[in-house]
Amino acid sequence: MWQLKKIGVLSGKGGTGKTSIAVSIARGLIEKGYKAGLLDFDLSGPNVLEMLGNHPIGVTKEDTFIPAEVAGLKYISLGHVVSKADPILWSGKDFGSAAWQLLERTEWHNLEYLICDFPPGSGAEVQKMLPLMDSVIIVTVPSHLSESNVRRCIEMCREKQIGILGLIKNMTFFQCECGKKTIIFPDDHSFEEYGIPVLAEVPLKREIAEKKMIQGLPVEDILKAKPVLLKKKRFKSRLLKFAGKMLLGD
Amino acid sequence: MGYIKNLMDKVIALQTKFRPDMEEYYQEAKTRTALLRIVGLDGETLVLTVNNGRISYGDPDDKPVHVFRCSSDTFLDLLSGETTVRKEATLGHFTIEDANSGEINIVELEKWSKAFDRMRGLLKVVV
Repeated sequence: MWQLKKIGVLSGKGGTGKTSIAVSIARGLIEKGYKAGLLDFDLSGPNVLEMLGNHPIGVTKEDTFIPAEVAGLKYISLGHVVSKADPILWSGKDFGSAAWQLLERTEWHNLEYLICDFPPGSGAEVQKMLPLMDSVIIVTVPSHLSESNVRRCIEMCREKQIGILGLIKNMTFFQCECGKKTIIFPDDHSFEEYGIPVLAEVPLKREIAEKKMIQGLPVEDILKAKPVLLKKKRFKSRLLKFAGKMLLGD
Repeated sequence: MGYIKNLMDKVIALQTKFRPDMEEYYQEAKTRTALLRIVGLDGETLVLTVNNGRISYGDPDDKPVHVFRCSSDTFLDLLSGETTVRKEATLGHFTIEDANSGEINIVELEKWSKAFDRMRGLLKVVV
């Protein structure tokens, strides 16, 4: 039976390059011959259209969206529906509902993978959509400002019991066209205590901005990674166990 | 009868005189009944639907599936071309909700944006 695998790309912090990585994974999958789609959940700042070219969407007689398509990649964004130049002044409930409709009321047909670009933070749409993902990829930059946000993001996945495929470290160093490498952010966090693998390290390069895509991401390895499902912390049961032992005089 | 209903009567009548060939659009923009609530002192409640690409009055006995809400100022701005449904919906001045759940409906937003754009296009030609 056909089953669409939904993979969220998230990061607790804005500006880490989630959208670039989500677009690059989706396009990389198409290049490898997979049937892939891209969904832009970043409702307050939908940037996927700028990266892919704003192709039109349609509406079917059954009141569902026909996604836009470019070079075999099906995609949709709230940016298709709302005014391009205005801020989206909706409530959290509306964002959550719109995000759900983008996923559930779009004709994805026989896609194998749907890459979902999440907004930063833990707003209503993130909370509503995260439980619908099969697994997630967390994007981080080696900055101390990113560390606490990424931890929150990891803990959110623990709380919602969503498996984490791994981390993608973006902007790990600046690579000059002459080949020289310069480390810009000195704080490299591994998050080793969680046992989450690093799937890729992406340098900061002019080429990425020019091509609007990160070339050479190991997309197949990323998708084959076994999701890490973090156990919920059960202090209460451990405490009760401890109390029980004390009563028994252990 | 308030001026909004009067105006809407004329706009709807005007549409029947024009039938541009937009087959693709006709298929896209067929909607179920919606209630347009224009709120404020000049308020009005209209039962609308889009059929064959044209906005028309719906059957008042039909249970509305969606509820739209905007002020009379916004509505006049929409008809005059000062603004668009898409823009006003983005800014939260024109709401499109499911009649049962009260949740925003973005598929209807897409369809009615196009329907109003077309209606305004006609008005531009005629008025």
